[in-house]
Amino acid sequence: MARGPLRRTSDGAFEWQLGRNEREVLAHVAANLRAVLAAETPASDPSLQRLFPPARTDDPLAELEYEQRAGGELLATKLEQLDVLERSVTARMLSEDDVLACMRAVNDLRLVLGSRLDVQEDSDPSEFERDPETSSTFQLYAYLSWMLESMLDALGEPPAEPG
Amino acid sequence: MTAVKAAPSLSTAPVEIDRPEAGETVEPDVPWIVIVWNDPINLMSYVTWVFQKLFGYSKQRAEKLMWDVHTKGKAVVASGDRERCEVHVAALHGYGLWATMQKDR
Repeated sequence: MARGPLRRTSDGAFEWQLGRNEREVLAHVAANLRAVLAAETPASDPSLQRLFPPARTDDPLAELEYEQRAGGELLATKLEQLDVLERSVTARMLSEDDVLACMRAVNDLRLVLGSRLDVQEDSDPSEFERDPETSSTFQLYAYLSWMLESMLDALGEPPAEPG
Repeated sequence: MTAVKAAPSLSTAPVEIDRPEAGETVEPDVPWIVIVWNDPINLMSYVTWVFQKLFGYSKQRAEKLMWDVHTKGKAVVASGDRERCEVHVAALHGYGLWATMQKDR
């Protein structure tokens, strides 16, 4: 069942076919979020904070130490993944590492857009669609959700380890 | 809290107070746990997939944990020493999941 734009080929690589509009939109939003993340501290924007959740809610000092140890690398990884997504939209074939990076970038974009829309468990999609202020953001959010699902489909299930 | 039950009698015999050996930890060896919290944005299929990918869990076990997160608000997804749990938390943050760690008291 080939329902998405991404398909695993027999040699383990991935073929992906995007329409011109999809390529433009994905490259644009990836570059946009990368520029924002590179320029701002997440503390300035709650929707960006969602990308950098606390590790230690039980101990503020330990949390500060954790942030100092791990925060820089997490940011660098996210910037790199957005870069891979932006560069990959014009490619026909992707490696599995590229797909994983793109998938994580797509999810980061969903997290930021979903936070801005204030998506909740019981949110009614039609309300976002009707509201002129949120309809285009929600449309993009829904597209990214569909893209994420199709990436999961193409990747298939990770192997289980015994135990 | 402790209470003194009776006045102790002091002997004059020399007393040795045990000291921990070098490198021995004084604190009891409490394991750490990694908790994933529910959020309204991450897809159920994605959360299940991440648990399978990061921890090598079977689909059945990963789905059970995902449902625990979804219905109970959180689930313990891994445990171990502090360093190992920090690696798990960092990996879960890399996938955009809302994960914390704490001592399993």
